[in-house]
Amino acid sequence: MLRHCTLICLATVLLLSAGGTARGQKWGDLKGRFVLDGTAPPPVELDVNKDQEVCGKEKMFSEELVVGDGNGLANVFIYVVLERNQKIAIHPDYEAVAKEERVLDNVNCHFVPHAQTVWLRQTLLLKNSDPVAHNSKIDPLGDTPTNPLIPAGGQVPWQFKKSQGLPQTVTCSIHGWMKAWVLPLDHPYAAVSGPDGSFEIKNVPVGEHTFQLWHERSGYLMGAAQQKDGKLVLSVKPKTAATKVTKKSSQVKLKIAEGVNDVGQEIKVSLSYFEGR
Amino acid sequence: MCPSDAGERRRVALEGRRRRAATCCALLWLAAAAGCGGLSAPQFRLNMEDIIRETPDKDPDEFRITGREREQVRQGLLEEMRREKDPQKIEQLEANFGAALDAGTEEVLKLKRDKIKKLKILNTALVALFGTPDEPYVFPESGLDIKKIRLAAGPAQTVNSNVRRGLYRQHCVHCHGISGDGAGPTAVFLNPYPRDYRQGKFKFKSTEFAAKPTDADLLHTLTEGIPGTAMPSFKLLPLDEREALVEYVKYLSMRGEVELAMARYLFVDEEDLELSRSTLVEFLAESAESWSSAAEHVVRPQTQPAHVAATDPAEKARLLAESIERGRKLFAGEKAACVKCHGPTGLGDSEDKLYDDWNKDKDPEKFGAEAATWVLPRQQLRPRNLRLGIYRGGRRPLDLFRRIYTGIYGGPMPGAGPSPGREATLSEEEIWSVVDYIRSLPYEGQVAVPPPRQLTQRSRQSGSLP
Repeated sequence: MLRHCTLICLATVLLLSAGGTARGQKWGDLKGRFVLDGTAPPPVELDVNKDQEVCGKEKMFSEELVVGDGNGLANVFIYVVLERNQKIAIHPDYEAVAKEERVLDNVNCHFVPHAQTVWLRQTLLLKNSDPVAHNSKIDPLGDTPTNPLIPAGGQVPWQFKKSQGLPQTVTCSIHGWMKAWVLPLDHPYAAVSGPDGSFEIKNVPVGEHTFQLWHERSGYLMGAAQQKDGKLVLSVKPKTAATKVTKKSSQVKLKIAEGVNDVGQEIKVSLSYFEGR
Repeated sequence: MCPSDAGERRRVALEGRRRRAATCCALLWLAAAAGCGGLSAPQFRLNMEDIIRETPDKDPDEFRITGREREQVRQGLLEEMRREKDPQKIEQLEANFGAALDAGTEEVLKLKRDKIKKLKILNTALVALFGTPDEPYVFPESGLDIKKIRLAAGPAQTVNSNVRRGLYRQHCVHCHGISGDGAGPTAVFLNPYPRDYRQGKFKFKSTEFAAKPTDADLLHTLTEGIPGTAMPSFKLLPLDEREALVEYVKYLSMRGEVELAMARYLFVDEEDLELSRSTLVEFLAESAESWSSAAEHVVRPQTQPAHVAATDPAEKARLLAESIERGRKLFAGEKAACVKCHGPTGLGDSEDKLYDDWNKDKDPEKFGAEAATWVLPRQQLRPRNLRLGIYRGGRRPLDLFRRIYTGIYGGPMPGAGPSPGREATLSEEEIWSVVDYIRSLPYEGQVAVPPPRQLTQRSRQSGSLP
């Protein structure tokens, strides 16, 4: 009887302390901006050979390397990488986000947005706003593949089941030039840099996390973190043609503090990442 | 004699056979190792690298850096110097060149050794799970029938007068290859290339888009062949031999899928693989489950076209004509959008940049000089010419229905039917209409011809017979 009592007491204490950490959990926002260090090569024009009346309205360029205002580098994925079976606390605000649909639209025969992340609790809505038919061929590693036909004005919801280490492609078989990137993850702590190169991840649990940086043209970007004047600063290590960039060596540990963590408004990515193939 | 005696005797006999096989293997291996004739048992080809097959007994740490690899590092450093504009830094780089080169090569060597270590682990895991081409082995968790596999595996031979063994090597290997990689010696001459089973993707089947084919599907392909391709019919083989081959295809496919999953884990996720039974089974389980549950995913239309049910011939003809017309509109419209690839006349001439999953990543522009070394260069895929009446997945209306409903897994053809979480793009009735239209295409222009009797009468009147 006494032993039972002790067990119950212990359990209660454990439960209370667990609840305590969840309530006492502190959160920090991570923001920054990637810029291309150098002059971007001119974008490659795509060969639009079909449905000219819709797709050929204006010249279409490859979105493999998009550089915006102030040399801002768009479409850089930055996301938290978890160890096997590692759990991460989810901020209550994300409950509402989980119910939001992510949209991958077909507009004038290109995918909008070109790159995005999806939390596994979210649905990816494959939408077609064009007056012509499209299809979305998705073949994620180790996850169920799909290739639905999406009629003009139609939409098809899709649910990813597995978290991925790298963004996966979405292509359209009808219009061979169309390509988008989607990264399904089992947590919401991920972002893709916008047209001006900026990104923001809200409400990351305070503490050290491993982040991965990736761009479709270059692959992994080698991140490095340092403290400057008591502030966390993220940089991308330059590389040469001979540098072998591996997954593990490119990951960077960032210690997130409470409040806003601005890790730099000019995180330079050297042009050598995008030269050669 | 009591049953345990019989069991005991069988065990002893088996043990003896195994021991003899082992001695035989050892002798062969010794012969190969001594370099006296290159006679060695065939091995499954690893998807990734030949290096561990060429040097099976070499310790990964014994590998050295090659001159070419060192040169690559040197070129990289030189490039870095050319790029630098600050003269002071250039001087610094020049002074440290020797040390930087040593550090660079050391890094490359470390990566190389790690990779070889991982390839060895991958190879060991696969041999543990599946054995070798001559001595196949399966875990009970795979759900595969080892008896059937043994009939299909090994060198081609006839034993005990009528039992033929080594069926795969007799009938299939020259196209599909020893590992089922679709790269046998004849593969390069064929269009399309033989199927590479290792991704676990099969195009022509009765099941949903990404589901595995059922045993019956594979047996059907083996029995009927694939019209319009080099895959012949094996109708003349007895049923038990065809069934053994089906099991062997599943075995090769499962082995390939596990290899891919493990390679991803080791090289893409950069994780370490523990060689324990439970870990191996974990990798095996997913593929095994998808194969054993294939039959649950068979697509069965709930309706049949109205003209099939009609009994009055005139009514039947009218309904069919109506259905064909509806199918024609769908084919050309933005809902079914078949026209985008199969062309306005159904000749399959509207898209010239299609590749299937086995070819899509083989972009010669991306790979440069390496592309010239490929055993199977990139092969383009043509949308089916629908005016020939030759359909690879079968010509029955049901076969065509399934192609449109599910799409073609591994190819660019999208599916128009429903799948978990989404509604159908085309209703069953609409799909049947497209089927009717497609089936009418090879005979288009002949449909409006008057029925044969009238034709004959008119021909008689004019004094000539057709």
